[in-house]
Amino acid sequence: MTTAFPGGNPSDPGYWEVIFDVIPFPVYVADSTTFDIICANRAMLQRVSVRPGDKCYAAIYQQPAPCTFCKMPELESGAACGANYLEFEHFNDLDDRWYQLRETMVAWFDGRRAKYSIAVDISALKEVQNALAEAHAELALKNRRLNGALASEQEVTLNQRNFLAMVSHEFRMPLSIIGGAAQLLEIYTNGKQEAGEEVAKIDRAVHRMSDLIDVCLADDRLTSAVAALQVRRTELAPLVEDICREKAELGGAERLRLTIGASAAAMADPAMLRVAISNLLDNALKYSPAGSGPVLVSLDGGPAEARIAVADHGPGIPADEVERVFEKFYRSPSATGTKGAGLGLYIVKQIVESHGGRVQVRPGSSIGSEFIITLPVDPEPAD
Amino acid sequence: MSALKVLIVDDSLIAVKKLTLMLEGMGHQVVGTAGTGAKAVDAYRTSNPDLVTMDITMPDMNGVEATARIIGEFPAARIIMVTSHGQERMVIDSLDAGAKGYVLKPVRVEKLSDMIDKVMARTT
Repeated sequence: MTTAFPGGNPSDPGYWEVIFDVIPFPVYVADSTTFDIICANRAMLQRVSVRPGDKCYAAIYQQPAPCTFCKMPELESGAACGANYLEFEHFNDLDDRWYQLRETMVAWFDGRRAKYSIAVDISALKEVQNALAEAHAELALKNRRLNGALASEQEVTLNQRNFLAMVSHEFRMPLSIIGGAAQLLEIYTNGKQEAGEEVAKIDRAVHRMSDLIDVCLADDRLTSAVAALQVRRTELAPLVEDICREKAELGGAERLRLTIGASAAAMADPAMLRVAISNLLDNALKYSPAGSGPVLVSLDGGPAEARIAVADHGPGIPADEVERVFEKFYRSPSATGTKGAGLGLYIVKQIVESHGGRVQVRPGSSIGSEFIITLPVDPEPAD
Repeated sequence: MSALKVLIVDDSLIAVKKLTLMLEGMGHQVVGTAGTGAKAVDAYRTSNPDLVTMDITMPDMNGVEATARIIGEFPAARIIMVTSHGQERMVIDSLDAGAKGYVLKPVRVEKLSDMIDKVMARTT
């Protein structure tokens, strides 16, 4: 089906020229069978030189044959089912501009079937749309790369854990055999001092190795625990008091002195925080020589931060090691007399930082070293 | 960068001409052109290019499918989609098919040159 030319008198060939020329967008009419240009308006002629009788694909698009994107066949089939126009966006390679084309099938005044095409330049709009689409695509690609990286990182972590679990298990078995054999050997030594000392060395080495496996596994568990932190409002004074009481029971009440300045509460996982504070206390007790005076523990709450300090009577930490003591597996060269894997302070730091806090050491304290945990305070809930 | 042998796949002769001028201006050599997706695969076999610029909308076989075919046969092929399709879906589909980059029309020399540099840096 074709429609009569809108608003015009098909028998007046001059009428369409006037109508088309007032349209500010390029318009042309082409024979739907021969592709001959029938006419073009002023706006069209300002852009491209076309004459009646020129082939539209050659004159407008510089193609040797009908354009691959030509909508004439579609318009013909559309016209057959009642729709006589198509609207679509087209990028013109000739002038590098985007157009919205509205192409309509009409019955021309001389009886020919023709298509008239109106082109509106939408390059500015498309530029914005394309920039947006490009940004979206970039984002989608980055997202995809990140997900890929995350997946491989998770795989690496899983492999490390599996390896750690496997190694720990494999090491424990021979260790327990060595330990058991050492105990038997001790019996066979029949109280001979020199032989007994050698057996004791084996025994100590077995324990050190066993401890090392324990801390390695603890570190692995720490990673999972920090990831699944269960925080709740926690009063710090009862927690610190409880830890001190527990340590005093083991090490002697005279070895610890607790001072509570102001009470404070923090959003914390009490079990994890207990591990961190206990670690500091264990270290302080370990490095303070017997009879050197009590380890000083204090809790102070400010308006924004709470501060838990543990001061020992140990040898102190050299200033150049202050940053390094919190590193994984770092052991001070001077810490030769005590055993450890270099994970304790690393664990403390991980826990404290997972609570939004920080841990520092003051090496220059007159009595030894002083470790300070600072945590953000959870304000009193409003009733 | 040393001169690259480039295959241009586009059904628009004007687009082919423009891309040829741009690529030659950068010092590259256009070793073949194809106006359809099916011809693109043949042209790749015969010209063995270092790089392909691929239009998306073409008669018979679109650029995404042509890309997948070329990559299927030549997994190391470097294909840059040069397209007027701004939809991110189309871009992602092309990259899924194995394209190494894309440039949206209107093509500017700098955009094309940057993309070629990126693709070559990633794949050499």
